[in-house]
Amino acid sequence: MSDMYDVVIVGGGPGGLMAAKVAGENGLKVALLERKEHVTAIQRSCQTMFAIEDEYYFGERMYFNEQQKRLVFPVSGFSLPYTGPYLNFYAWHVYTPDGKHCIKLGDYEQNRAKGHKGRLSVFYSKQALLESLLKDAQENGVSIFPGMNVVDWRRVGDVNEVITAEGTHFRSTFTIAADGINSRLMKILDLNKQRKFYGTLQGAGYYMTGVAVPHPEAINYPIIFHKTTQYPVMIWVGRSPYGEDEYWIYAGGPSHPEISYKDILDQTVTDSPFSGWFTHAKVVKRHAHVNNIWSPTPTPFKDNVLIVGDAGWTVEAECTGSMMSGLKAAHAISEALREGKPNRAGVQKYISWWQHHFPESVDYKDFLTLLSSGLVGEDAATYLYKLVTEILPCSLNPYNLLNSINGSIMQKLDRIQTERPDILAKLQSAATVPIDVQMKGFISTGYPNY
Amino acid sequence: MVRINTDECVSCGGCIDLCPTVAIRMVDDRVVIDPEKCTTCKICVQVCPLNAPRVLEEAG
Repeated sequence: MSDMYDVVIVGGGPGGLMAAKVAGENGLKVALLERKEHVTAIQRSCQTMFAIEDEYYFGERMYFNEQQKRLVFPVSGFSLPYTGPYLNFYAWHVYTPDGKHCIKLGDYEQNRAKGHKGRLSVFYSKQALLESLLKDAQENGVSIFPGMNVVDWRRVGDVNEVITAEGTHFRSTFTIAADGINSRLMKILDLNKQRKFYGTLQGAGYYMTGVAVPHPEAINYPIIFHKTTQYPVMIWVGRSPYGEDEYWIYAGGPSHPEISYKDILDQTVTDSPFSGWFTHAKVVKRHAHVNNIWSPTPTPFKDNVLIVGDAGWTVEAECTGSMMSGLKAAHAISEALREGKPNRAGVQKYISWWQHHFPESVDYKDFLTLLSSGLVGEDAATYLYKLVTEILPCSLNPYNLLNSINGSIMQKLDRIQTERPDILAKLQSAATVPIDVQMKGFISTGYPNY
Repeated sequence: MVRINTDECVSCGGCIDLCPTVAIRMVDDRVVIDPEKCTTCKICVQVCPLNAPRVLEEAG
């Protein structure tokens, strides 16, 4: 008979490790399974994160206390040690596809002159964060099982069983599904059928040295368009906390059989209006990702499995939502076990918290709506973005990021009417079409894991 | 069947997640396809942003 755990956590990212640390601190018998051997080594995109310091995001504002070296979550009421590297950044610069114009979100020079008080935020190392969480979890008695590929799950009576490709069965009272944005447990539990599929996002990226951008301490963000499909592609060029003089360059957008993001990335670096930034650059490391985007799971619970982080919705954004939900799920399980209610009623507090913060607040559709100015194609987007010449305020909350650009464009409708009535007509007709209809193309070229 | 070009693959794991027959897994931090479970549906070929999975022609 194998060990019986209070909770088995599937996935060693920010949500799973946070849940493990808290459940361990609370005295539960905990196992955490991760398919990688090196739990904290990050092989996919988004090694580099930033805190959304000056705004509420999912009801929280996570900021970095650089005196005490802690990441602080004042609303949820906790903080974490973070002693890894960090870099200030001062503006977000959105470039038109021809590279000739840049929309300035945040005043780079003015903010930079103020030093850390003027920063938009800090880039931090996700790996350093995970190492700190892992250390805390281990010190609090959590059993870590690396190299475990979870392939199945079942409930036998009152016992949950997680089954790995390696042939191990892990038995527990509760399970936490923290297995990320393409969660296999969500599929096994048949929970994706309750969600709306919005498409698949793909991306490829390089860590590079020797990059020369006009504003090194900004996020440099060209928006370009794939030639034949006219799908918008986001390019990110920003400093990396992982090495001296290192940058993170990334190209990503919706999946389409004709689009290779590796090719777009290579072309950006070698033959594009932006390739001057990379004349002397060298690739240090490569990475990639593929993410299915769904609406939030309406209920983050089934058969004593609690859904945490991206497994239930795209809440990761800078790890904030993942860590919050990991913390809340672990506390809810601790209470349920003390109360002698190892069931749905015992963890109702977590279910309600999730519903209030995610399905009832914002949906990914709201985010897609923001991108709609990019759905009009290269020619129109280039024209519209060039109208924005004033320095705009910058929001790091992805749900607000493009609002100020869209707002600025909306103030120039008279000029658009005179100069480009065809583009105005396009915008007006798009405004009458619901975003999921506008996004139909992206959805049809995605790969939903129902 | 499909083979992973290990020079291209960075082991991001996207294909593991989206493989409909659970034929792919992470072994020693590398992506490995089980030839017995692979049905050559090519989902992994389509979802990989780095073009790492390659279809092998059936012999004979």
